[in-house]
Formats: sequence, structure tokens, C-alpha cells
Amino acid sequence: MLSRLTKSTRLSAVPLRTILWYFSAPVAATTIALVLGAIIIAALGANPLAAYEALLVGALGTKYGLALTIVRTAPLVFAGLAVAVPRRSGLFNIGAEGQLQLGGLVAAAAALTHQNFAVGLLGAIVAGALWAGLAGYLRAWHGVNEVISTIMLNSVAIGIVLLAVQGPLGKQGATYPTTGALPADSLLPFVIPDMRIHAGVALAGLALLISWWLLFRTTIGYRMRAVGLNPVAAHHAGISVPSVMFMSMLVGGAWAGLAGACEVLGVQNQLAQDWSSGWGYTGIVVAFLGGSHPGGIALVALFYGVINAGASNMQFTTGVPGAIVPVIQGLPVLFLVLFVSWRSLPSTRRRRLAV
Amino acid sequence: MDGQGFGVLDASFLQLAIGAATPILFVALGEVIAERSGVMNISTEGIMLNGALAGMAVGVFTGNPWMGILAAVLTGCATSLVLAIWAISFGANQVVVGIVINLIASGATTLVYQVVFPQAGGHLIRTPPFAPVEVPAALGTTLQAVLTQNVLVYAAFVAALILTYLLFRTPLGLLLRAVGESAAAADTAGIDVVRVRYLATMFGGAMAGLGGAYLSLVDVHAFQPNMTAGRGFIGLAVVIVGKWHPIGALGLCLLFGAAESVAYRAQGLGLPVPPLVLTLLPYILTLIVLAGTVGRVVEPRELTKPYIREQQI
Repeated sequence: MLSRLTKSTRLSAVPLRTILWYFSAPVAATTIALVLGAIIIAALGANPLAAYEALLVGALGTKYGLALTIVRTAPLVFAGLAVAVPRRSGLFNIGAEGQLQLGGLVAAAAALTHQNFAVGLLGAIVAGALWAGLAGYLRAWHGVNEVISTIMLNSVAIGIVLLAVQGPLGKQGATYPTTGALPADSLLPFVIPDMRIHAGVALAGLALLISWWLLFRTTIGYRMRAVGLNPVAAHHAGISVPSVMFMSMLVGGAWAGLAGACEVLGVQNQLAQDWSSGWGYTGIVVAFLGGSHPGGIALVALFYGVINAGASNMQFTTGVPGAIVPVIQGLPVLFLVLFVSWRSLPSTRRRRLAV
Repeated sequence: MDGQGFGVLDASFLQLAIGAATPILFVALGEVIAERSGVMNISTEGIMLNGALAGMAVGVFTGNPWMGILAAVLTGCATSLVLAIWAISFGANQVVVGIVINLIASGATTLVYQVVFPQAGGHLIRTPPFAPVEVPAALGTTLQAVLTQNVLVYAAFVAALILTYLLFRTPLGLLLRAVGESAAAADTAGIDVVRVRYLATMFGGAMAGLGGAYLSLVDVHAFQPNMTAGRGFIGLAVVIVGKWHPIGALGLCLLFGAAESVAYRAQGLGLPVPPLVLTLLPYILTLIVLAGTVGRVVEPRELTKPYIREQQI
């Protein structure tokens, strides 16, 4: 029985209406968000169309902009996967930010001590996986709400990074806490040298493929999805629910750790205090808007990468501050969540709310 | 503030610790009420930021800090209303909505601050001061120093006592706890679950907004982007470790306020551990308590569970 179950990679046939829904809901939510964003831009006294045009031109119009877009997309892909994989087994990894911060720290430490990026990448994977695994362990075997534990672990991780750059890893005489420039041998090589696109971007693509394969083509992934859809049924089908939950957090943490390592060794080439611009938190909205599916995550991460990369051109050309970026990135999920909830409401309740 | 001595533990230290405890206490008290009704509001960080900016901006424009406080409370209510509509009426995932509110608030407050105060570039804009509290000298210099606090500090500590009484000694408190423990049973008993949750969530938002305004109007006397620096999350931690009890929250806020103050004071004292470690205490303690090594955590039974009457069997 179980072997037949695990051999199948589809949990059930998905009706066409549902598939259409999966595509149309995020698109509709994003459209509403962009319209709201346009209203905000107009309220700031700028022309919304000109602002959006400047955003697109800045992100895609030049070779430099395109390169920046691609580089900005990579950490969002990793962070989105870091949230999506645990999400598939029903866990909510709010801790991608902390796992990413520790990954960056380990990568920087390895760069300083080993002059080797491979050690840094592996160390970051392990660090991220362990940090997430702690929350996963507490949830799986002690019933500790992973939302709260990962929020706490985020703050602790950020504190550890701060301690490290202010202390043992800090560069003497720097005006702000930082490791200073990391040794050149320890940095990620460029895969497209003339666009300065580092190997981490290729790793992000690989991470998408591996995650898709893991979730939809392996027994472990099947079990993760089964646990996420119905843990009780999964338990009765002989799946060890705690180990599957724990495993999904390990995988998520590994992706987050890699995000940090690639950013430190590929883009920033140092570890400074406040080095992360909250990719871990953006990863949560990327995962949600992308339907916790690697394909959706790739699209949303690229979309958000465009917004990130084009923001400075938008600010330069139309005077709309770059601080609008998190607003435009957050709003789509707010509406998507509303649509999703609306869909699962009983029809009597819907009618009552609609009045 | 740090007059002459380098003493880490003295009257002015206590004063500092109580002051540092206050914004977290506001947040935590609001969160206790919201969570007791079954709504987990993890957007406290974002609501604090909104409150901090609204309080600062209205305070500066009116020249009256109390108008700033009022604005912060209203902003907190309005922000938590989003969570309430989404989570209570539509049954949306409270965690997702909370995280998104945090994300949007961090961008929106920075945006509004830059637009409304374009001159703020290099220097901070000072908020108007509160009238000082006169502490009689008859109490002795130590007590006088400790008690010389903003009125809001007194308000927070009194609020903890009042809320304890309301929660555990009045029908209103029983009603609130009933909704958080078993919404269906409360509904059957004729309690309007939706209304109770809306009011509790918005009270939580108002208190978080107040905590944010304390930071900008009393503590720093200015607004800085992302100035809350995780205090909204500490508020969440305090609620859990304090076992959803206002007095538990009060004690922990004092402990964490003291830790923050030691860290602040001890810089350059050559302690064996970096003072920064102390600021991580709230998070580490929460993890230890959650892991079950110290006491047991029993949350309100229907925390984060939406109540849709039509879906009850």
C-alpha cells in the first residue's frame, strides 16, 4: 500500500478550475497592488506611469541594470525556497533571515581562515540548516510553535553576526563594524564575467531545480507534501510526521544559508553590520506569492528583483523614494491572502461579508 | 544621563531600566489581551513603527506631545484593523498578514518620514517635551531619582494592574478568555466572538502604537527609520514567557529593561562578555522556556485559529 502511495508523485488529480485559480489569484493580487502603488506614487506628486517606466528601464533597459536585476533575484530565489520547502510540509519558516545571516557569517569566517569559497558555501549550508533545524526539532518533537521560535532565532542570529563583526572578525580601525574586504581567492568566481554575474546566481537556478525535483519527484518530497496537506492522514499512512517536518526545515535552512553565503562572497565581498536588507523576510512574501512552487518562486523572485534593481533609477528619474519597494512587494500578498481566505469561506459567510 | 559615576547598579540605572521596560510593556499588555481572545498579532513591530512615526509627526506639527500620543494610538488601532478584517472576518492566516504588515510598515514609515520631513537628511527633528513629573524630595534622593519618569511610565505600570483585575476578576475578562479558549462555546453562550476579537485586536494595536510613540516621543525624542529594533518581537516573547499574564509580562519587561540598561551602561567597562550578549537575553530565554526546560507553556487554546460560525459542525 505504502509503496504504491509513495511511487505516485501526484497526490490527486487537480481540476482545471483550480489550476486556473492558482495562476489568476496571484496575478490579480499583484495587479491590485500595482494600482495601489500607482495611487501612492501619484500622492507623492510623481507620475505613476513614468515611475513604473523608470523602474523597468532601470532594471531591464541596460546591460548593467539587467545584471543588477539578476544578481538581486538570486537571494530572493534562495530565501523564497527556504520558506517554501518547509511550507510544503505545513511549517512556517519565518527564520530565513536568521539562517541567511548565519550563512553569511560562516561564509565570511571561512573566507578569512581558509581563503576558499567552497568551504564557505558548505559551512553556510550547514549553519543555515542547523539554525532552521533547531526550530524544526522543537516543533516536530516538542510541539513548539515554529513561528515564535524562528522569530527569536532571527534576533539571536543577527546578534551573533553583530558580535562577530564587532569582535573577532572585525577589522581594526574600520569606521563601522565590518570584516573589511575578504581575500580575493575566497570570493565566488563570475559565470558571466562581463556582466559581473557571480556563481551564486547559477547556484540559485540549481536550487530551484533541486527543490522542484525534491518536492515533486522523490519520496521525501511526496511525504513532505502529504504531511503538509494532512498530517493525520500522513501519520496513518505510516509516514513519520516529525522527521519529515524536521527534514523540510533542514532543507529550507540550507537554502537560506546559501543565500547569505552567495551574497557575502558574490556581491558584498565583506560582512558588515546590517549587511542584509531583509531578504529572509522578503522570501516569505516571495514564497507565498509564488504558491510555494519553485516555478512560481522563480517568477516572483525575478519580478521582485526587477523592483529592487530598478528602484534607484525610479528615485533618480522621478523622485519616488526607494522606501516604496517593501510596500509594493508586501501588498500583493496581502490581497492574495484575502482571495485565498475568501475561497475557503462557506458561501453563507461570503454573502454576509459581501453585503 | 550618566552623570559622574560608572556604577552599573545605582538609582539612575533603575530609572533607565524602568524607562527601557515601558515601551515593551505597552506592546506586551496589548498582545496579552489580543492573544487571550485568540488572535496572535505578530505585526507588533510594524505597528510600533507606525505609532512611533505618527506620534513624532503629530507631536512636532501640533507642538503638543499628547496629540502625538493620541495619533499613535489611533494609528495603532487602524493598522491592527487590517489584521482584524483579514484574520477575523475572512479567516486569513494571522502569521502571514502580520509579517506582511511588518514588511509594509518598515517601508511605509521610512517613505512617509522622508517625504514629510525632507529636511531631516542630516539631523534629527526633535519632538516637543512632556511636562516633567514632580517627585517630592521627601522620598529621598534615590527614590526620587527612580521615580522621576514620564507620566506614560506610570500609565504602563498601572495598566498592568488594571488589566490583571479586568482579565481575572470581572465578567468582561471571563468573556475575553472564553473566546480565546473555546470560541464555539462562547458563541453558543451568546457572546459575539467576532466583536470581542475585533476589540481585543484593536486594543492590542493601540497599545503597540503607544509603545512606539513612547520610543519616539519620550525615549529618543525623534524618529529614525526602523527605530523599534526588534522591540515588537520582544513584546511577543514577553507574552509567552510571562504566560499570557499582565503581571508576568510586567516582571519580564523589567528584567529585559534592566538587561538593556546594563548593556547600555557597560560599554567600555571591560566586562568578560560583550554587553551586546545581554540584549539577546529576551530571545534566548524565550527559546529556553519554549523548549520546555523552564516551566510549561500553555497558550490560549484557540490562538491563531479563525472562528467562522458557518464552519462549525
